[in-house]
Amino acid sequence: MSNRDSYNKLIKNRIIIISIFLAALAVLFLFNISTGSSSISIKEILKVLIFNEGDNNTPLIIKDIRLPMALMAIAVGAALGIGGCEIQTILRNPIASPYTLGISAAASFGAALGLILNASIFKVSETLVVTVNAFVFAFIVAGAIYLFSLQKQIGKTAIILFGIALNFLFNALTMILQYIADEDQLQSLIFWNFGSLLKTTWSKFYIVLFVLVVCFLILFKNAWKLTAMTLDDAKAKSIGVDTGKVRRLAILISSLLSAVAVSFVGTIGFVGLIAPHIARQLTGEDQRFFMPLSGLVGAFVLSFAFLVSKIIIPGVILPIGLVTAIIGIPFFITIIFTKMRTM
Amino acid sequence: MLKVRDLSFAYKKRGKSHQVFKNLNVEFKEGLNVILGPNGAGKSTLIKSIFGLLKYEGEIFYKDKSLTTMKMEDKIKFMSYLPQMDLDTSTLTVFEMVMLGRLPDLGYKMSDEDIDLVMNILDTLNIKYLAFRNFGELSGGQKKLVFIAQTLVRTPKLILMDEPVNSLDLQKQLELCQLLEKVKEKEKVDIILILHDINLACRYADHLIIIDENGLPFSSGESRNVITEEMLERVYGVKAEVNYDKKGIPLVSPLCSVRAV
Repeated sequence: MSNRDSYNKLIKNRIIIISIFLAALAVLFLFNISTGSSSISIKEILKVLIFNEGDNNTPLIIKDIRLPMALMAIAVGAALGIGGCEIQTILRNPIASPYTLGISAAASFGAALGLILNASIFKVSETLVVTVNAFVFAFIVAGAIYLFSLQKQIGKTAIILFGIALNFLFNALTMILQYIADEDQLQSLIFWNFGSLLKTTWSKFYIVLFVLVVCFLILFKNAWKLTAMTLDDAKAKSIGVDTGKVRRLAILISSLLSAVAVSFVGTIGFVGLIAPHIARQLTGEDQRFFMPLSGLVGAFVLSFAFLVSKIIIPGVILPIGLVTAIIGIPFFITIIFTKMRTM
Repeated sequence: MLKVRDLSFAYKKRGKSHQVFKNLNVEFKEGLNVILGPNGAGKSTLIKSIFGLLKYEGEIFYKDKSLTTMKMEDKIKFMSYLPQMDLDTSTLTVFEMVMLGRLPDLGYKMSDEDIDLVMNILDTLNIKYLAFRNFGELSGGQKKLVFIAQTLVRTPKLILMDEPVNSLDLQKQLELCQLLEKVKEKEKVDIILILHDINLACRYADHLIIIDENGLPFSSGESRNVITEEMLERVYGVKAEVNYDKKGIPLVSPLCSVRAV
């Protein structure tokens, strides 16, 4: 009997951790709606959201501006967290993430190509040009990293260095685009390269949400197989996991998640690195908990960064990408110091 | 029990190819089989071929069913394979690691039967106290036992293990062999092991298969017929003395290598 109890206790603890993050996220979400150029009290927010009543412009500000932005912070944070979690899982590398491997930079380049040249690899409607371009480039780079990682002699550090090389390459390509862009395009490109939630609309949010939910369900369905990817390939195969197939699926999904995040809010670094790292410390690598918690922590970190970006200089909303970079870099260095020794 | 027919396999790397087997024919008997042979003989390659991790020529039959054409998802229902490898990092708990062995049957929620099964196998291997420790924190021998538990938790009909006693201390080596013997007798499981310790193999194997350094079968059968001073000199390149204990089990005392050092 005690056997079952100790296992059930472990599961219960993990559910409690997830609940705590859910609650904390809800609080941050309300604060994010409340802060901005004018401050709105929580009481008023609840009145608008629940009873659909309020004074003057308040309902309009909340529903058309603040609410989609606060929700977008959650959705994009979750997409980056989950994308990072799966990239780290299949490469078995704790410092891999869409950002450190150049997948985000590639997506940025693809999106910039869409913005500047209005050119797309596939014929699609104009609103989707940016997203599709971002995805195609993210996927190409993720695929290249996957092929690179299949080489037997390649160590974990080499994969990161390869990603850094790709990062430089796509940053340079994006700069070429900036150089040839006219003034208006340049401004929108630079603004967007910083990473910002300010241009969020409901339709953009729904697209991110849709991709996020679909990816989440596919990953959750494959939770055990992804958990088995923490094993050596021979071992994973010996318990019946088609490692190649699982890797390809995870690469596809991570690129898709990074691409939607990048194409709607711009480059946001380090969330995909930090979130899985924290989640792993809290629940371990059982994907039934690790993947959802990575998403939750990502949503939490990005919501927190969004809040900071609004209050750090009164009256000014800093681009959120800059805030996550500043919060993220010390964290990144800490991981390198603690983890690289064992790599 | 298991027949390997005309097995040919070559590793290919950068245009060069290294032939491991050419038309190998081997037969494994019911009970506990041990493959013996020097380094590079292709023992691991043979066991990987049986499990189906390599693309080979020829055909392998288990109880007259062809394993060569069988799908992996059907094979893992009755076969369990323990590769030879080490793995240092994972933040999975030991419990979860062993549970992964039941992967094809796992749902989102663990059934009580699954939990009991995992706990019982950990208990049998005397590592139940490690159940909720992080796998990454364990010693090499403890990790090995966890993987052995993962192999056994599937309740297989055919067990393939590549050097399972490596990095285990003397007591645990004997305990593992005794456990395999018990599983074999109680549940009629067939076992194929690769071992380096000839004396351990003699004590527990029903059937020995000796492969020489060229990937050719040298001899096979019961230990008292197979383990001879001539075999040790020709296959292993060592001078050794073979004595027999009260039960007639050979006991090998190696003396020196046949080549100059």
